[in-house]
Amino acid sequence: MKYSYSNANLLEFPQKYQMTPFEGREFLSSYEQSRKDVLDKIKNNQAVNSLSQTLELIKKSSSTNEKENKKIFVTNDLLLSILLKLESKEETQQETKMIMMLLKKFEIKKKIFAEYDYKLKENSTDFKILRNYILFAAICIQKFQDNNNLKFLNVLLKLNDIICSQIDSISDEHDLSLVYHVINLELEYVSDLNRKTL
Amino acid sequence: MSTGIILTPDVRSKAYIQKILHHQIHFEHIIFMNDNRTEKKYSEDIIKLSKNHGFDISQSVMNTLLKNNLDFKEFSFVDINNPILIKYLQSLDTEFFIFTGGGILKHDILSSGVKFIHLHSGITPYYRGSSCFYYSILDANYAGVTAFIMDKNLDTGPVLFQKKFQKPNHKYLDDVFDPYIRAETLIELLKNKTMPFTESIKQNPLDGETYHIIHPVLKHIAILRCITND
Repeated sequence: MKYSYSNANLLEFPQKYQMTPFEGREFLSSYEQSRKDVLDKIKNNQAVNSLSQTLELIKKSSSTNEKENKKIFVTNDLLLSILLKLESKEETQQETKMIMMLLKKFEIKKKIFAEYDYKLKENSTDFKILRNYILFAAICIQKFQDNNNLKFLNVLLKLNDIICSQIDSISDEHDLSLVYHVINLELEYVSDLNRKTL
Repeated sequence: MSTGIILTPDVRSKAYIQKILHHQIHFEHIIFMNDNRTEKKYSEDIIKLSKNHGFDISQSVMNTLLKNNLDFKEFSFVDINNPILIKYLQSLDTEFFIFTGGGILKHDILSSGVKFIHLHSGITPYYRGSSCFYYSILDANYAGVTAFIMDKNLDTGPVLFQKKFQKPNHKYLDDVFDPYIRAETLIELLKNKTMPFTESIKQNPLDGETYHIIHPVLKHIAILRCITND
């Protein structure tokens, strides 16, 4: 059995996940193998830094894009700033609220756009910046670690399906390092949850 | 004051109408929103299991209505916000309708004077939104149903009744378990709560959690938990 939820181009053709069939325990093995294949692909092509090093390198290589219109934000900047605050345990209510709004928006559209206003109305038609999906996946990892709320694991699985479906288009080594960590941790959380079933 | 029910061509409505007939509960008005979709074919296993749970999944809603000589008004669309339906509802002297579907009621239908009771398979405010019985089984090994009067937000209306169910020991959660627990709760609500449902508990829309469609990996773990651990 092949895991089929990260096969197609999920950026162009989002997966809706409605009424998905039950395919037995074998389905979970195929999911695990599919994710491990992506991990191997990354590891075989480059050295993977630790998560904290990776974040530091992404921070250093990112330049903040100041918008003239203060009602608009660049998604990449906001996600990186939220992720760094979560990493340093400095999350405020403002960040929590924004994460929840982004989660809801993603669950409905299955896309992350390059710019939004603060009510999350899209200010761009570009939804193909993979770093946004990777950063949001890393945020969901942090949130699930903090509160065990399954809605974060749920959205993480969907983000990683998109990322895995696009793995060959990611060339930045820091992005690939971060992808390695978010997939590895997702596998760990899924395995923990599954262990409680056995 | 009277009560009606709005049915749709799906498993949930099959369970509702068959259990209602079994318990000899009478509705003044039955509305069937029917887009004539093709009936799904079910395996013998599911049919047998549904019968063990008090309804026959192979019997279409239309079949049940006709076989039992029930008076009903049929519409050729499945949309609770359709203006034709709203106009019809306003012409009836019916305060409450059980609505088998979910989603969001728009302004026009909310201001029509009719109240809609929905059976949501999650204990609110902890489990609002989609696929809640899966999340609840993963979190706490049970599923629950909330009967509430629908308002403009998702699953936030005043609560009439809540009931918890142990996780099932089979794998047909979408087709059998979900309609079964909702229908059982509906029957208990109609048998035990007196009209016009004056006793309800207000919800704070800001409390609790709203969930979204479950990813197949989590769905599989939830189902395996049902059939692995008794």
